[in-house]
Amino acid sequence: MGLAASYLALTFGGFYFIYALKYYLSTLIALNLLDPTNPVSTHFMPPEEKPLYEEGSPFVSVHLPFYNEVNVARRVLNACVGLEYPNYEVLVADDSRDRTIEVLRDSEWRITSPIVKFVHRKDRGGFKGGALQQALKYMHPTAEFVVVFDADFVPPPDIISKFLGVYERSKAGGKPVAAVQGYQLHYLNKNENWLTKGVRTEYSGSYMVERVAEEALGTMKMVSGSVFMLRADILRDLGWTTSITEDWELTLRIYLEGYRVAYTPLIQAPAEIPNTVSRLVRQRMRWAEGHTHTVRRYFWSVILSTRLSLAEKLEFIYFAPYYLQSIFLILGTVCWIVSEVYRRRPPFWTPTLGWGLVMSNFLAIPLMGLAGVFLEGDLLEDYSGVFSFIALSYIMAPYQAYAALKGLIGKEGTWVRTMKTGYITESFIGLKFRSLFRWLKDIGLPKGGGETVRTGNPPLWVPTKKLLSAACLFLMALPFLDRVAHLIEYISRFLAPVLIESALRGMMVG
Amino acid sequence: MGKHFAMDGGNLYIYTTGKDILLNLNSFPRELNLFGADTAWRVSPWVAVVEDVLHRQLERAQIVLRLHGYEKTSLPREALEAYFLDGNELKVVEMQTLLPPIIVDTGEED
Repeated sequence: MGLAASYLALTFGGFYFIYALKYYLSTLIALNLLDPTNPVSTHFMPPEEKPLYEEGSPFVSVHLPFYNEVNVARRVLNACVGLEYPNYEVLVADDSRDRTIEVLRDSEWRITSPIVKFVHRKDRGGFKGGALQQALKYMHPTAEFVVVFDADFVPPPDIISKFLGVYERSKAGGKPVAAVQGYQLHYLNKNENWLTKGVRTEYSGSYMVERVAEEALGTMKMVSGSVFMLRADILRDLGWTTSITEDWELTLRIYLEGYRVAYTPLIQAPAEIPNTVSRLVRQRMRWAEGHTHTVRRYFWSVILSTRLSLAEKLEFIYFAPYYLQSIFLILGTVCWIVSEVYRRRPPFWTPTLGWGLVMSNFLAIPLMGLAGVFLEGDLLEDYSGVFSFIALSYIMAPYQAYAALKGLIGKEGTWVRTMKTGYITESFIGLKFRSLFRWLKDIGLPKGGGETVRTGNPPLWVPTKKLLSAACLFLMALPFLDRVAHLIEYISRFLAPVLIESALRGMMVG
Repeated sequence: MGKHFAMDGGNLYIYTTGKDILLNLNSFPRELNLFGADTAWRVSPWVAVVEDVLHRQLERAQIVLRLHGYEKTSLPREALEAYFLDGNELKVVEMQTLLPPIIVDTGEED
């Protein structure tokens, strides 16, 4: 049994280590790309400060899918009618059965500028994808771009200009850009409880580190349900589908058509975090099931497509079992502990190697989350979220694995909505967001004789960055340290007599 | 300037032109269920559309609309749908002037 467990530990742990390596490499890339002391880190430079869009601005249609959003409907509508852009409309695609409808019936939306349209359906056919398809049908015919926000987001006033600015800059190289994905800043209620702190850290790792590295490496990037802008002509051609992860399916169809998705952490819209374990579990199970089911449907189309680059296909292969990775981590760790109890392991497998692999795998995502909040300048405030995040990973793993297997084998299930409460703990969000943007904006901007400057750069930034980078390198190498030690020992054993002999000969000759 | 409504293809179109503002949707009695959860409806600053309206609902809706100064027209669905999408009232106004006036049967005898 011990031997079997050790082989399983090696298989599961080795598989997860591929993911861990990617997280460590992503962390190293993001730490260097967003480094203010690095003069070449201009990859994510924001648009110019001057108002880019006034006369002849492209028409933008902002789509808001609603389903029983009474707690947040007015908040997001107020934010959207206040966007600083001259040529846009707001279109709510509503499937509500509750008092959200009273908000939509309110006359105040008929006298605001910009245009606000509401499209209410009497059923939820096609779930969010179905609602967004209705929005597409009724948007302004001259719309050139579509921007989508979920109801719990609060888009900042300049977000459309920033989307267009990034889109213009992204056109410069590579395949044509169909969509620009921004940062879903899950932040508004981050201090509500241990769970919201953990999820905040998780998103920070994903959006400030993992996706930054994906953008830098030119791999596949996801359209992620909210805070993204799409070219309207492409969206009209492709349309929305009725999958429970309609965003992931759209991503694959975008790439299959020969387009790509651009990502920037500089466009951010703050949002709520699910505040109970059951809500989070339901949300993640839907993601896992829909994601895996979509992978199953599109796998060979993507692999055999001539329109995707090798890097994009590799990222897709990496994405494919994404929601099973946590279970591999847990199974690998448990199997290793069992094999240690029985003290049985393969001959090439040492305790140092085993524990090194366990530790390296265990710390990969937490370190990425830590690097994320560090890059946002929130390390001191949000570091404790890493512990919640680790706990959450273990809680979520079996649910996600079950849902992923369900999606892989069976039919796709139904959409389970994530309840939004409208509760905010961060009353200073506007100030915080602004400072965050300034902080990011200055990265890589030359000042004077080629120096770079970063507003509010704390004195410990460079040492902390070095510490995080060193931790990444050490943890990447940890499973192999034992082998390296053995190699050094072997070489020294082999070389020592030779060296001594040659030294003695030299002395005798002398 | 104008406040109008039309029926086409089972849909009720309520629309305004010029500086007129669309009536408050809460003006309709709740039990009429025109703009409720169980009906498919749309609204923009100029046009409100209720799909698949029952005859009974329409009769009562007309009373409310006339009380608010709305006049019935017979504009085609395509024109009203286009007006909903882009808010360009020129075509709607143009077509309205070409249409013969609608004689409303009030039910009163001479």
